Amino acid sequence: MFNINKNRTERIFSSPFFVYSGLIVFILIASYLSLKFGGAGSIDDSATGSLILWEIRYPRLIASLLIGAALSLSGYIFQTVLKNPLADPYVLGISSGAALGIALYITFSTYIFTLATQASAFVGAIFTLLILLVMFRFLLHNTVVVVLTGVGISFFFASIITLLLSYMEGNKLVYMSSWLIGNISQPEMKDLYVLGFVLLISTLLIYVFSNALDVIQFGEDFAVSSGLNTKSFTALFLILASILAASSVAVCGTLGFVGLVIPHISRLIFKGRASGMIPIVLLFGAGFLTLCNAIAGMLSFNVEVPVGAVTSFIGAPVLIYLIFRKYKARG
Amino acid sequence: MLEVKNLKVKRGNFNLNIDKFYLKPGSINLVLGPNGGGKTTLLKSLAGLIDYRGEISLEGKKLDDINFKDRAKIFGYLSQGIYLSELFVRDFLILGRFPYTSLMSRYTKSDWDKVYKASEIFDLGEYLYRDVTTLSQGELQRVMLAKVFVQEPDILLLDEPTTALDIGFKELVKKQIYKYLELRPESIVVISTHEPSVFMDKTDMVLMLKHGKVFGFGEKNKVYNEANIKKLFNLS
Repeated sequence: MFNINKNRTERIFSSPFFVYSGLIVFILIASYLSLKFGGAGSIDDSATGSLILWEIRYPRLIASLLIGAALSLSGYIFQTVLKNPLADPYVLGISSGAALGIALYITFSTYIFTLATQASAFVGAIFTLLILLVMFRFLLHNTVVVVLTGVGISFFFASIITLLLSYMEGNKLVYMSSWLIGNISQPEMKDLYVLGFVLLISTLLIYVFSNALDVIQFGEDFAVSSGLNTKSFTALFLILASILAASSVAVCGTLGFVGLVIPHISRLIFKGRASGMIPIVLLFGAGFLTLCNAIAGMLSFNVEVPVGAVTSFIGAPVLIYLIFRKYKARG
Repeated sequence: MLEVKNLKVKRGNFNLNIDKFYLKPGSINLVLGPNGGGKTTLLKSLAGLIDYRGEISLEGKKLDDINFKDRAKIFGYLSQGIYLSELFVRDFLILGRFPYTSLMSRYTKSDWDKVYKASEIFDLGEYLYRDVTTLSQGELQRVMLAKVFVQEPDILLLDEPTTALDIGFKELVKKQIYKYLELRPESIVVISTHEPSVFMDKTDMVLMLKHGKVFGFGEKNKVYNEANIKKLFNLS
């Protein structure tokens, strides 16, 4: 009797393929909607329709798929490694750090190169991560303190960026201010190539080490006594998560709630080890941001609605619901 | 033989200083003492969770600088609590096989067989697809102990393994620990407990710790007596 039960439940839960197929259908629908309603005019217009489709909507679609996947994976790693459900690159200030890096680069440079933009985002993100790690080390490994520090850093960097904006002129100012609100309306193809490459490499590395991620989530004592070099792997995972966030920020600015909410909803769909969770988080994040992009397009009449407004509009209530559900269940 | 010499651990204001003790293969050993005496600190140092000075060796081989995975194959540590994260019980138990995987490899069928075996002997069959965050304290304690068994270490370091359990499960856990020793006669069991009577029938050595120092160490018959217990716990 025991064996019959085991095999039946095993079939249902341990093969997440039915979840994957559902998510792929979700992505296809979101992509279709995004191409059809993704803003910047109408594709049915005989004169400009095909130009809008190929020059604007396809790049936006690719951007939303890549950024959604990257931010969600980044959030999943931060939440798992820091063992804090509120951790994600936006809350922790990693995204702000990347944004500050880019703002500094743009302020003090004459020409804007894609790779240099990406590199300054990396430097800003890693710098913020270092501050967080130092706090983590000196404040008795308290992850709540780390998250609160991140929130503080985030506000501080935002104020520096505002100061920098006041020094900027003309094109730079327009470029910076449209980019800061979390905008994928005009992604640079070069940025997308870099993001795609970063996403591919980081995902592969994280997937290869996913067994370590399973062990790390139960705390340092558990991880070390299970045979994991916790310090090295914590550093590795946090660096990869920061790079993913930085590369996304370089394309679209700071985009909130994707990295925070997607891992939570993914855990509602599937409770499994990291090797099963990673593809789900990636697919769901890609589909979610693409859907948000389509919704932003549908809501744009006089002015384009930035996708960041939609992710926050959907993400914030979902987050509050999730927190409510979690803490209510615990009594 | 597990030998510990000149062990010194400093944690904030607390200092643990142990000159020497040794534990024989195939033995069950109790660590007793009042709260704050250093029991958990000792177990954690052995498991390599906290930095220490001194020497820990097994069969003459020094263990202080071995790598994390090799240490986890030797020492299996049951902590009093862990940070809980959402995962099915079966996926939690397989983590006991982590020291035996190389980083890229997946868990094999024989790894999973060990999980199912451990879940059977700890009566966890119907819990395999429960989320560990939803378990009661007693259920979680059995799951965590089962994970240590799946790890198949040479030395079991068990911090309060029976505290949250009812009488029936105390007996079950005790029986399974004894059985582990039967199946692997070279292994060593170290139990820190406030319930020494549960394991007293098969205990070999008793180590008493008070204020971070050895209060008494020796064979059960010599050390474990009313006078010592009264002094150890300040009973008049």
